[in-house]
Amino acid sequence: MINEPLRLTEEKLREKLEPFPQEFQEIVLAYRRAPSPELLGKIVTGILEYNGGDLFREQRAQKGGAVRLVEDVNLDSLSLVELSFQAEEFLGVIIKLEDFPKIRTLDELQGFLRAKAFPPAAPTA
Amino acid sequence: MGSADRRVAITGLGFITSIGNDRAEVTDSLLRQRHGIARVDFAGPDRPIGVKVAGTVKGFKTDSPFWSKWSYPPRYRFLPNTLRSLAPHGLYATCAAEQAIADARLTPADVSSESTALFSCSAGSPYLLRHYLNLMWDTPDMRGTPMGVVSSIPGTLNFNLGTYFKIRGGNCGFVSACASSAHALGYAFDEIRLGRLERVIVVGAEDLNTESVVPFMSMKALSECDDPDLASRPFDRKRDGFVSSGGAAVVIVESAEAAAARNAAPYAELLGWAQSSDGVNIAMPHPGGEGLARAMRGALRTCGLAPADIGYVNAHATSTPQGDHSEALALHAVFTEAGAHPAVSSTKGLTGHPLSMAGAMEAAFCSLAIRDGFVPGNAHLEEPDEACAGLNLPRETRAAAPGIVMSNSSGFGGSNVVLVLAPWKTA
Repeated sequence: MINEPLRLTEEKLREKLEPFPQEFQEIVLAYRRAPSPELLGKIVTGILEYNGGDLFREQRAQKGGAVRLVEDVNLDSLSLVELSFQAEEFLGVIIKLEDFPKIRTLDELQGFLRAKAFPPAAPTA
Repeated sequence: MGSADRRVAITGLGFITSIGNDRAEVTDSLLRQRHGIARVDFAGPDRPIGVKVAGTVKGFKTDSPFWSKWSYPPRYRFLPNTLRSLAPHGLYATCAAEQAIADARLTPADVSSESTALFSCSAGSPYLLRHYLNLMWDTPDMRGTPMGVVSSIPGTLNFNLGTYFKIRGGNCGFVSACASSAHALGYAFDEIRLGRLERVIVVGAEDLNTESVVPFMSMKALSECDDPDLASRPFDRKRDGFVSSGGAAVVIVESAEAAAARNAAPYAELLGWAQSSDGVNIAMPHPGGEGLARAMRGALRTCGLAPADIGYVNAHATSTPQGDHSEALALHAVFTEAGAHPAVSSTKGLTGHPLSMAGAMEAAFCSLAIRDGFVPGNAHLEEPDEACAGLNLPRETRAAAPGIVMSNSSGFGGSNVVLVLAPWKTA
């Protein structure tokens, strides 16, 4: 198991982004230059819009952040693997397969990735 | 229960072909002899290669490895969950299967019944395979993508369509190159005859892109004629190779009992089939057509027919010098020598050659010819090969009931399959 997230060159990152909408590509590149929780939130939503399409949009409109990745958006195991690759390549965060049982909804996915990308600062003495 | 008397009906057809994307378009193209061949730049302006035409798939844009960049006719609607693991030909196949299921008026319960199977055929997608293997080698940890295997290898149609249509009766593929989907129809016939299945959705599909076409140029199998109006001319003295095509064709076969229970209106009866193997060469047919002749005789025998009972033969003839010559000799051996002169034509003059989907596509054309009463002509045939002297090769499509029809298919390695179709007669 590799514990360090894959760090793509910007050229390779742009290649990985090719299937995504232009606006999403720019958000990911902006995040690479200056990571922020706000951009992270947009990237997670964008990944799910890409993978879930209209079904994700409809379900999210009804359920908000409680929309469930498997039950509502029909993401299967291969889709979750793909999602984990995208999270690693775009956000620099590894989602292990054993993490997915704890990540059932959009809000839980956002929270998991935010906690990994922006861990709370250690208390100073 | 299985029974040698169990009849097999063809009840649904679906088409994404170079000559049309539904039954009406295809029928019109066959009647008017409107071909689907166009100029294609396979290698870019800096690489002047010999192959310049193909039987193109219209209305679809699949020239990207990314499904999110594809477009397809608006009558179809798919979610990313469906598209992400499809090859281009998987998209064509899903569309054609939707057509065929609607054409047969099958309900979702019929399609998902334990007695409905999916038999499918394709060469996989060398285009996506190349992309995904490059991606794998290009990524430091060689992760590639989880959709790489299921979208690109032979079997991709079974994985994807079996899931999409919720198939429960059986799900398998057939690989015998250009005889594949004819084999699938033959074994579907047997499964229904044996009583193991009531219904089989038979799918043949192929990509049409540089990776699926140009390797055949390396075998000198493709026409280098740059005129779309002349490049595919089966049985013609000036033929110089086949014209590649792609798309999807779907044929639904079912037992007469299952069809009757739904008040289906069959196009035709699949009377029987036979196969043979040349055992001679990896790519070339037996030079005298011995293997194909055996398959034709076998099909006649299993159907209890004489050569004179056949009204029309849809030949495999792909427009290659050797293949058409071999088939002409086989036709002489089976028919001319028996004093029979059925009309013979190759519809590949219109479509080009879509490889493993050819058998299903041409069985579907034969079904249309039987139901609508026409005999397809030989498009682009100007001067028949000497070996064709004495064969009945109509140039024009003519309005006439073809009677009992034979559909020939041959593939690399000397695989030969012959299907026999007849007008449907209600018991």
